[in-house]
Amino acid sequence: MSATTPMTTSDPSTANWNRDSAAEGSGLAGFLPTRWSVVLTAQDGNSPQSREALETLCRASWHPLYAYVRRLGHTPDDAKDLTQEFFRRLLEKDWLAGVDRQKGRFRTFLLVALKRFLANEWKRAARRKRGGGAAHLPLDTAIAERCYQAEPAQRLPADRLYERRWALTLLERTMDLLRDEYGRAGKAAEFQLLKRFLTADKSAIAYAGIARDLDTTEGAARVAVHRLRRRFREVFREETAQTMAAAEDVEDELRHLLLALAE
Amino acid sequence: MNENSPTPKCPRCGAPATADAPDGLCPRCLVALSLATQTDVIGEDVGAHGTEVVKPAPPPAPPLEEIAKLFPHLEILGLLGQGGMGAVYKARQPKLDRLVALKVLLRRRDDGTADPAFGERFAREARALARLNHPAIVAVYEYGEAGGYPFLLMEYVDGLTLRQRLRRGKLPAEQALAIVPKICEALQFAHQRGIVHRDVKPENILLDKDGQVKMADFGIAKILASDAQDLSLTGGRDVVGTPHYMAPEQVEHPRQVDHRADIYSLGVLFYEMLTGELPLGKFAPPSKIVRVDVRLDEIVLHALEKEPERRYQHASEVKTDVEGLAAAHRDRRGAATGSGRRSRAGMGLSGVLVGTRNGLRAVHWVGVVREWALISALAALGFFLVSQVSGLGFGFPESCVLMLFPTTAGLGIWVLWAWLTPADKLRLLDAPSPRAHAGSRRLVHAAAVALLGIVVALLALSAYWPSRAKQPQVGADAVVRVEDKLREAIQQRLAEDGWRLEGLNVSVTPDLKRAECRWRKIWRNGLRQEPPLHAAIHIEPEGDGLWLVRGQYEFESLRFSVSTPAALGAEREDVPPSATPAASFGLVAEVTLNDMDDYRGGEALDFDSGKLLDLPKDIERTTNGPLQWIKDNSADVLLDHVGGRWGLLTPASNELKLALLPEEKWEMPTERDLSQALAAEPSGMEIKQHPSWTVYVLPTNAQPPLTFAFQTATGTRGLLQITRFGGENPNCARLRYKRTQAPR
Repeated sequence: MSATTPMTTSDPSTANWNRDSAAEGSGLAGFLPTRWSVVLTAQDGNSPQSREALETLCRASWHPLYAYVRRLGHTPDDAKDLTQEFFRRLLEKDWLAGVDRQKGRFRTFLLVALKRFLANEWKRAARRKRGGGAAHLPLDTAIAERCYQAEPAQRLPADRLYERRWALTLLERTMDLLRDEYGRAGKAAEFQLLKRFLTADKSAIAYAGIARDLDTTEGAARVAVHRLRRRFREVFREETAQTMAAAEDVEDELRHLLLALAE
Repeated sequence: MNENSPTPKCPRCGAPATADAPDGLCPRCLVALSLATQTDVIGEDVGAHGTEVVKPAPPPAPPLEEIAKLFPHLEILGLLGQGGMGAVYKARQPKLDRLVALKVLLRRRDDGTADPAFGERFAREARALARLNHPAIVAVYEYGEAGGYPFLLMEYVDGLTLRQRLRRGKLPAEQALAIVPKICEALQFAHQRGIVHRDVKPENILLDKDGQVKMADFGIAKILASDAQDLSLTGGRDVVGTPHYMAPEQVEHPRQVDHRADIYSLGVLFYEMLTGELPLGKFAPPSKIVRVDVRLDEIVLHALEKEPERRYQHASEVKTDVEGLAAAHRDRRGAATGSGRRSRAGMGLSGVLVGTRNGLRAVHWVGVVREWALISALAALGFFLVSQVSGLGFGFPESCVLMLFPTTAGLGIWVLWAWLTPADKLRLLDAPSPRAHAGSRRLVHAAAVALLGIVVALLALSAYWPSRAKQPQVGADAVVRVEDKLREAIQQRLAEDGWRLEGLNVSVTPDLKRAECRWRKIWRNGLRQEPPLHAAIHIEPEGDGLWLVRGQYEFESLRFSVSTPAALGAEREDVPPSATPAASFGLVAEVTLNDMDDYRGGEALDFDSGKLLDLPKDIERTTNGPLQWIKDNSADVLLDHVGGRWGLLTPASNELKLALLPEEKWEMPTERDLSQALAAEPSGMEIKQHPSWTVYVLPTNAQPPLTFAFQTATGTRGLLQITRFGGENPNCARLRYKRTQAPR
């Protein structure tokens, strides 16, 4: 996607890496900072880059996985152990070899891998690994557990919960990126004010009021709202595209996300 | 993530805000905002799922002067319209003195030269289009390239696009039925020549001032689609076409579509013409939205099948079906104005009462009326009396034989037999008759045969001739009469109980073959033994519900009873006892239940009233939301997936008891079977008890049919059977149930 970005560089990959380092600093979970395709391309050679990329991918996407494991009925402790162990093995083992490069979506790949892991190895692994062992990804279970508890769709089947959580995490990530971006441009207050118009009905937006709040003209307010909406669209599509092997499929993936949220 | 100002409801879609909403914003609307779809609409609009339809600003159309300079042999009269792909100008060819439409595709390199690769593809396609010579297809006169722009010179159609017409509202069914066959013809013509339109939509259907229908832009989408990859003209990743009209496979594999994609688009178009709406998501069949013939539903839904293999395979098939219906409608109108003359003999009617709910057919019956059976019986009696009085001496059996076969073949055989049999061998005339003297026997014989011949001829004429002239439609006026009668009677009967009836689908199928076959069966059992007609109709008392109606046709008189709560327990029965399939059970109702998690919305079943209740969409989606709701509405059962297994969920307060029975017990269980099963410790299912609800979880390997005995809190008992898991979607199950009845 060759996005014309009003406030950051227009090269998505650079923008992304930059955003990610900023995100690390501010304690935000870096969500899918690299293209899934990059990982796929590097899957045969176990290069440090691909390992690092995969690690970041995993770290970013573990909320949906945690929710999935919890939904299966595991306790918070077990769920944490299982998720960590899963990631450890994912990073160690060459599980990527079997991934179809054409069809691959990180979302589906991850869930399939987790299911395989749960089916075959979790008992043994959990017994051995609990309470120590190799380097874990530092996962903040407290936040994940809070998200899980806040989930209004408690009774969703685990698969669906995973997908819903996935979509929400992508949205949160997008909002965080936008907040950052506006913050860096010194427009944090503007973002705070305008964000609710992302879901407003266009005809129902009172631009005059916004103009007053932003101390600007109505025309400028209109442009600001339009920009934020456009920027949101761009970033969200971009973030979604990061999890896909082929960016052309993004529209399809968006429809899927919409369906996943349709509860 | 959570410095949100609390919004109780999304201002855009009205969904209640959830605790996990990012920044307190409705997640669905956020995703929808990003779902950019490409249409010819310039600017922003609202599309499917409330998505914002976004269109990259099209390159500006070249001004008239520039076009005029590029096409010196044409008088450019004005800009007719502009879409993302190109601009269309109205022009005149002075030499031929005709108006033309000039379509200029806004594709050229930045230096103003043509792109050779694109030009080649364009030329190839344009040549194919120019060969499409059909009255319902906008003709292509010329193609080429001017000033770097590929262009097409086309027939000018003076009129409206269907889109412009639809902006004024939906079309009357008759008009839609007139337009669709024309489109089918055009599509069939093109398909036979290997050209797929790929972008059938109202914008491409032109209605000229003489009422002619013309399709434009055949194959243009393909030219542009192949173009998209190389030149990134459409933003690189957008599928070319108009999403709402695109077949599912067209969205997924744009390069692999065949002519059946056009048939899907045609289905969308048809649906929109009839209802004024697009068939999005889980859409209702047209007859549920507007008052149109339910038979239209089948045509539209068949065209809209997701799998190309299950769709109509040829546009011509759609045409045949639509035209058949259109003819029936014309007949009906003719009958209404008193111009239709129908033979009453030979009339066969089968009645279909269908309850459709959310696109699923709930219950369905076919009934039958044979009017000529009665007429024949009366005729036989009359003939017998006349022959007795006149001294012809025909016995009653002979009269019946004579009169009860008023089919051409039957009568023909009879006449032949009468003609060939010598007078003294003719048993009919052997009966002693005081006035039949030996000498005049021959004369009497000849007279009798001649008389019979006349009767035969008359009957054949009245029975056969009109039905032959109107083969597919039998007595459309009678059809209307029966339908109206049914509707009226049901309405009246329900009004007595204080219910209001909405959306009742009654249709009578003029299917002679089926009617005849039914008639034979009935005849064997005697005229008054018509099988009872079971029907479920859609009635909306105060919400959504499915009610059982059972009724009986008897030569146009309808008798039926309705199971409303007022009538519960003491259903007023006009139907003979033999009507119930088993002595102690009421009618069998079949329903499809969606899983309560299904995004289309789940349903709950209430055994006491036989109602199928829709869970409101806006219900709070916590575990307790739906349960509270079904408790409040005193429903009994919800379907749910529990940990990957199927389960039946019931609120503890309703105390529904379920017990698994052997499968074969569905047919003829005794009262004891039920009592024993309900009293025994439940087995075969896992029962999960929660404080406020109970879940009967079926084993993972449970194979339908699964039969249960049930008993509700109010003591209603019966049998429930899951006949199938999955079906229309993997989240649903097909169930049937019947309630016990107090012995009469």
